[in-house]
Amino acid sequence: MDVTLETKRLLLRQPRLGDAGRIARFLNNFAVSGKLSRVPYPYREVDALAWLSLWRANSSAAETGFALDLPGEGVIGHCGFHRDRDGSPVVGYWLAEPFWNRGFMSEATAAVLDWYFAQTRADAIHSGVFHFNKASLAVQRKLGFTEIGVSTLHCLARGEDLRHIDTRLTRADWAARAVHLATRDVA
Amino acid sequence: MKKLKAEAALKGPVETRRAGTDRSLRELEAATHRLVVRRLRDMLPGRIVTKRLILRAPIRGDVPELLRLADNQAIAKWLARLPSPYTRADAVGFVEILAQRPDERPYAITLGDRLIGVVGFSFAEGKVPELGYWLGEPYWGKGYMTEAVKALVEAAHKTGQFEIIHAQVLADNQASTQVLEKAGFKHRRKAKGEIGNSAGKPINVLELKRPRWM
Repeated sequence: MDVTLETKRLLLRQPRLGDAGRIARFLNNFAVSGKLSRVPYPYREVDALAWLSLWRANSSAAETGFALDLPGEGVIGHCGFHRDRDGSPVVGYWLAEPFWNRGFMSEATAAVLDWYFAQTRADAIHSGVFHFNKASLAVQRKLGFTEIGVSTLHCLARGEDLRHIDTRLTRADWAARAVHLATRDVA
Repeated sequence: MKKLKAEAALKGPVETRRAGTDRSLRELEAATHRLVVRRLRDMLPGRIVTKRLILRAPIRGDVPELLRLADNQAIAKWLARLPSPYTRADAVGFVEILAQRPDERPYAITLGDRLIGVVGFSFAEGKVPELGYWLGEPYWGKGYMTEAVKALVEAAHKTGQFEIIHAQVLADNQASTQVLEKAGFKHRRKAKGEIGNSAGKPINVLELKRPRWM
């Protein structure tokens, strides 16, 4: 599934081996990895290379993802899908700290979700945040996710189980939001 | 570290570069293994419910039952890695350290919320996942071990990732061999035990391939 998406400011493309240096530099930051479930800390370039070497461009929609490439700059984050233990598809993402608070994450995730709902027949996509991650929860609310419960999730970087707010975005809510945005554009 | 560098310098630039590349490849292999194993571990369910049992992660509250059941020569004599005598430090170390290691995934086998044994996978680098288990003596002969092994193996197969699973058993451990055979394991080869209590003794390596339809 070698797809490239374009947003106003970003190119969303398949990650490649040459991204290892930047990915390692940005993920080897506890301010980022400490908010993620499955990224260890410290995170070295060899960890990024291992991750990239296992990357398969032909994975199914629920198991693929996109590097956030800021033209002229390079990779600044990632937005992708994986399955949780029950097999439900989950969307996850990270953004390099120097690029926070500029709307990049919402911009990229909106495009990735558009693609996902167009590619699949899924009724919904799951996501969530660790309980203290207000910025990420704000991104998800803006995109139309609703909170559906609280669970416990392991944080590799911290080496402990943390309270996790589970969220979900239904296809209906996503479609309604798209209509809403289109109407606003016209007005 | 310093010694390595000094030796490399004596050998000259070409060997240094080759040694550097070998080391990078080695590190990449290790990092890839860590990542693959983490994904395997992540995909296994946190809780597995069978007809009579619940398999879940070991917790601090299991320590008294671990002490009561695991400090038993009748169990330890069959196992490569179970300390004997089994002390409180071993039980706490199992829950707090071994069970948390990225290359181990043990489950407490519980009956009515009481630990009665342990079953799980070890993921050594360069090897296929290996199944290991023990059951407290008071609970033998009731089919609990087979029930737990079958459930864990089925959960592993459902992830779609466990193509081959190995298990090692001392050659004269008939009870354990029967458990594995009931779960579908087939004899693969004979070997000599390498570690702990099974060192130097004849063992059988059994293997389970993921059924095509799963």
